[in-house]
Amino acid sequence: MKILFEGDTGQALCEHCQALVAMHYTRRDVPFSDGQGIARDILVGVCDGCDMVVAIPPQSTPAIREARKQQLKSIEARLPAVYLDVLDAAMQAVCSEAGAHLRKLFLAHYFQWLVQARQGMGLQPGHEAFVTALEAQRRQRGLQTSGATRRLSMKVNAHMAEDFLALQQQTRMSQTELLKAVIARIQMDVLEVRDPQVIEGLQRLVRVAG
Amino acid sequence: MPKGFRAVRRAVVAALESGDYLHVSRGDIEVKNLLAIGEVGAGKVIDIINACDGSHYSSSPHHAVPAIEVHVLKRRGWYIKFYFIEPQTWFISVHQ
Repeated sequence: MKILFEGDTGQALCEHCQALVAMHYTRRDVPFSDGQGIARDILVGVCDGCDMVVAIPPQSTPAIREARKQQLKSIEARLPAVYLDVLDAAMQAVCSEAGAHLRKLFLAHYFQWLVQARQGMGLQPGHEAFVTALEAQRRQRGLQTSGATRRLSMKVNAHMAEDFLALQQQTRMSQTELLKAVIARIQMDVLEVRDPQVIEGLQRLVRVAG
Repeated sequence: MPKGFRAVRRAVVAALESGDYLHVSRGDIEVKNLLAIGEVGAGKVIDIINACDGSHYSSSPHHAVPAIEVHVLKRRGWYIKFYFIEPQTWFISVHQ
C-alpha cells in the first residue's frame, strides 16, 4: 500500500464541481454521513477547486473506525414513559427480582442477537404494531394519549456500542426510534408470545450477571 | 481503464490486494461504505467479488462524467459500487 502524505496530489471526481479535478492531501475533521460523530484530523483528499473532501485513503480507515466507536460511549434518550414501564414489566416477567439495573443487560443482549440474526429489518413493522396496539387499548378504555416521558441513560462498552451502531445502520433509525423498537420487540417476545427459549436465555443472563 | 466483467473484477481485486485504492467522499464519510469505516475488511470484499460472475455485474456511465464507467457487483446481499480513474480504484459503496 502506498502511504500518502500531506501535500501529495492526485486526480478525483468531485461531486460538487461535477468534474474530474486535481486534488491534494491534507488533514481534516470529517463528519459521518448519518450525522453521528466526526473523525478528527484524518488524512483526506481535497478538491483544489472547491476545497471539498473528495477522497479518503484506506490508511485513514483505522482512525475512522476508532472515531465511530468512540462517539458512542453512552446511549441516552427520552422515551414515552410507557416504553420503560414495558421494559421493566418484561424484566419482571423474566425474574421477579429484576431491578432497573438490568435494563442495560436486556438491551445489550437484544442488540447483539438482532445484529447476529440479522433481524433488524423486522423492528420497524413490529414497532408499528406495538404502537397501534397501545393506541387501541387506550381508545378502548377512553384514555387520552399521555405526554409523559422518562429518561433512559446507559454507559455502554465498545461491544454494545458496536452492536447498537450496526443496528442503526441496518435500520436507518435514530437512537430513540431504535430503542423504542427494540423495547417493543422485547415486549412481544417476553410478554405477548412468552417465547420459552427467549425467557430461559434471559433468565440465564440474569443469573450470570448476578 | 478495464472493460468487461472479467477485466473489471481482476482490476478491483488487484487494487484491494495491494491496498492502492481510495474511497469517494462528498464532504463526509459515507457510512454505507463499510470498507471505508472499517466494518468490513478488504479480504472479505475480495471473497465476495471472487464469488461473482457476469450475472452479478452491471455498469453504467457516471451521471456527471460519462467517460467514467460506474461498476456495480451484487452478490450474497452485498452491494459494491466503484469506478476507476487511472491509476486508482475508487469505492463509492460497499454495504449489505
